[in-house]
Amino acid sequence: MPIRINLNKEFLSLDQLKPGEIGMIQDYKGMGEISGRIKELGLIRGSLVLVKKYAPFNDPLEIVVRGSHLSLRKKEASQIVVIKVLPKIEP
Amino acid sequence: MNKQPKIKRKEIALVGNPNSGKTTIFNALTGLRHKTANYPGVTVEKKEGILALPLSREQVTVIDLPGAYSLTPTSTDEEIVHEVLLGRVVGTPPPDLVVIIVDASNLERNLFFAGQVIETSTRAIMVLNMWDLALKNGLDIDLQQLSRRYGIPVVPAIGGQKGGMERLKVAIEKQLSLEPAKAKVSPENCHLPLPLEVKDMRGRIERFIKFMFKHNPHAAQGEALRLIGDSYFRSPLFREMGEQLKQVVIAVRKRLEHVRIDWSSVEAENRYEFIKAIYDQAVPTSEVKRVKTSDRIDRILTHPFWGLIFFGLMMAAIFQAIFSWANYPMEMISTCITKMSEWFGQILPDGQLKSLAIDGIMAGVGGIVIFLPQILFLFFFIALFEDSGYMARAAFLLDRIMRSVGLSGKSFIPLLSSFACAVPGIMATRTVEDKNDRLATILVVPLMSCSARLPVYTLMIAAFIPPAKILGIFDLKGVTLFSLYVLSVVAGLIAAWIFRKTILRKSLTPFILELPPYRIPQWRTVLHLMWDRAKVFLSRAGTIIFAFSIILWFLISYPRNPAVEQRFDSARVAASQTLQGDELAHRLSYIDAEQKGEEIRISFAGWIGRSIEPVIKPLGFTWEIGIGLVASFVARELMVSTLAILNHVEDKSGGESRELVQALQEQVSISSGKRVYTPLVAVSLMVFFLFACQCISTLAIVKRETNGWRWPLFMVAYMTTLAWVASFLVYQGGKILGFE
Ligand SMILES: Nc1nc2c(ncn2[C@@H]2O[C@H](COP(=O)(O)OP(=O)(O)OP(=O)(O)O)[C@@H](O)[C@H]2O)c(=O)[nH]1
Ligand SMILES: [Mg+2]
Repeated sequence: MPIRINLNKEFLSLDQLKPGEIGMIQDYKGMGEISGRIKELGLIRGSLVLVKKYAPFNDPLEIVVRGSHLSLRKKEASQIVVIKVLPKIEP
Repeated sequence: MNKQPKIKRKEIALVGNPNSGKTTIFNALTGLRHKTANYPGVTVEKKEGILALPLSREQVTVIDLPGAYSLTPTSTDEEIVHEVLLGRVVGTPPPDLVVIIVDASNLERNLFFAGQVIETSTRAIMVLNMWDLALKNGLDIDLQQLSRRYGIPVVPAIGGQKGGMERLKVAIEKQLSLEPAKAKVSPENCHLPLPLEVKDMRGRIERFIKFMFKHNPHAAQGEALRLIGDSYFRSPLFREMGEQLKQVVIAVRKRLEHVRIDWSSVEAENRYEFIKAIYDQAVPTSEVKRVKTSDRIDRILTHPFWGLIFFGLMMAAIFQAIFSWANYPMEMISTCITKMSEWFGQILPDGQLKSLAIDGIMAGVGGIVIFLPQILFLFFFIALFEDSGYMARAAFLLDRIMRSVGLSGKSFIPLLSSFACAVPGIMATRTVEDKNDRLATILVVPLMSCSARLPVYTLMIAAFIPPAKILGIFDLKGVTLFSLYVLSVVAGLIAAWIFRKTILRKSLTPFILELPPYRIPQWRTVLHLMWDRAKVFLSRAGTIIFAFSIILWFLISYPRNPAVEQRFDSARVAASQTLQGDELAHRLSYIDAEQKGEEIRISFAGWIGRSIEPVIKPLGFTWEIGIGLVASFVARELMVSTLAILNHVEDKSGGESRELVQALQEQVSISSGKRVYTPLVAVSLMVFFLFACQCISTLAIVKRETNGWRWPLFMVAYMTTLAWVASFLVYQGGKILGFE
């Protein structure tokens, strides 16, 4: 998908994105605090993550990474640092 | 070629990400029929089958394994994959050939695990399964490119479809015939060169653990790298080698942090970079059309509000259906059984054999077989859930709610399957990563109302819950059944919450769940599941229930006391001397009933029932019910059999048997002369069944899964206490409120 990087590089945690927004992973909070499984599933630095939706009571959230749909809890999502990336609007 | 004598069949292991179609392919190769469904974590144990190779007809063993995302296991089922692939199970070397089942529609992610596996195995084949989906998504995968880059054969497949399977079998045969050196290129080839520091550190750990990999020396290298990134120390090696290994790994991590290397991401980042290079070449299409149907369905089914409403409605509809639709086939079966009993009655000579056949076996077994349609309906719905992909969604929707009581969304799947039977439910908890989460789930799984309880509920509800409508649409009987299920869920959640607050405190592991695309349920899978369960149900009826019906009949009919017979005989004589006509007939049938009652009271079963009566009296149960309760500890359904047999034996004088439902409504206790059942007693009894742990297979499986007697014993203790207290409250509370 053609993308354009948000110019004012504002660091957010993944759970601060709204449904439909895409983030690019920058870093994780804490060294080795988040489960390695997150990374094995392809949520590594530089990956694009689409936040698809939030479950009832706002937790967990559904994300799309490399074409697969995963569900994460807010707790883990809040440890993932992203910058917002705007998808180019397709006609 | 093969110089060694053939002692053992060659072994082929099927591995891959969860839900990539391993079992589907396993079934196609071996002709077996293990369970497949559209959610991650269906297979949780190692399963074996046999395949005859197409040319040589040599037989090889095929092993189906649970799905795994990585060789760093985070749950019990993934540990199995780790053990088998690395050949660490005592006496079992690693498989001769590994077939990696890759979901082609999700290629990038699947290649991560594939890379790890290829590096550790001597011979490998990659199957690009879900080829149909990949095509639909517009992916144009270059097979040759993939094969060249990974140095192994690559075969496309669509589940168990013929073309793919033929090609796979040929590839398997060819690979098995090659020397390992020719079958695969060097083990270094599934990741990019590592930074020097990392290589050094990997070597340090490798030397430390090498002795554990005698079968498979180069597996140690990959394992060493994974241990570096295993932040929660989940690898079984940490358990086996204790503190020492942990210290080495911690030191290594410190060292890497010092040179600003994120040890927790080294492997993942390296592999995904390696994959990206291959992926971009092998999948040249720039435009990836995602199939949008799943997203559209999810707009409603996982909507924060409508999703929950839909879930609730689904559940309500299922129970309504089980209760009302199943009625017609149930009545048909019931009629058949009555006809058969009558037929037996005509052909068998009067006597004990006839009584055993009709009152014991036909009543005991037939009483259970009637419930087959309900069981089939229940499994029909469960199969729909499982095969459509809704199961994972439900886990997603309910995670938050489950977490507030200390479980996780992943516990949902085991809990739901426990409505069918607790045994597969407990097996399914293997996918729950956290140890305490898993234990808490195991402990409450048997509270979920399994299908063996259904006959008891159905019978009690049919007999004692009046046919009324609630809000004009819902049938009161259906609502009662639904409430029982709701009660079982609520009780399960509360129990879990208490366990988490007391004996099973902390948990750490995150909840990560893949939501597979929806799929139209395959009617074959659905029918298979229903058929399998019907077989289990009927074979239980044909074995345990059959055997115990005979035993119960015996216990209820013996010992006989001639003195009692004489006493009643003289009463009859006395009656015929003083009374006449209608009055006499009336008196005589009264004496007959009295005699039967007295005979049961002094029978073995009567003795058992009476000896536990003091314990169950506060719950509203007479000793007649007590007999059934004791029997139901062998198998829950035996409660119904007992009632049927008691009723038959008691009623023999009348000739043709009354409907069991009606008999229960009219049954009076032999000792007190009062009605045995009132609606309140029926409710109390159902509540008791809901909570009591009356299932030996459940205890056996809990013992196996928790490695000891501690948890199964605890389970019996807490559930029995709960059952008693809950029934007590229902009965005594109901009496105070004037329901008696
Ligand atoms: N469209 C499509 N569906 C497939 C294909 N292969 C398997 N399936 C479906 O994918 C789902 C998962 O199949 P399984 O064989 O249970 O997968 P598994 O890898 O054994 O899953 P786990 O045991 O959970 O790890 C089932 O619903 C299958 O019917 C395929 O090639 N194409
Ligand atoms: Mg499977």
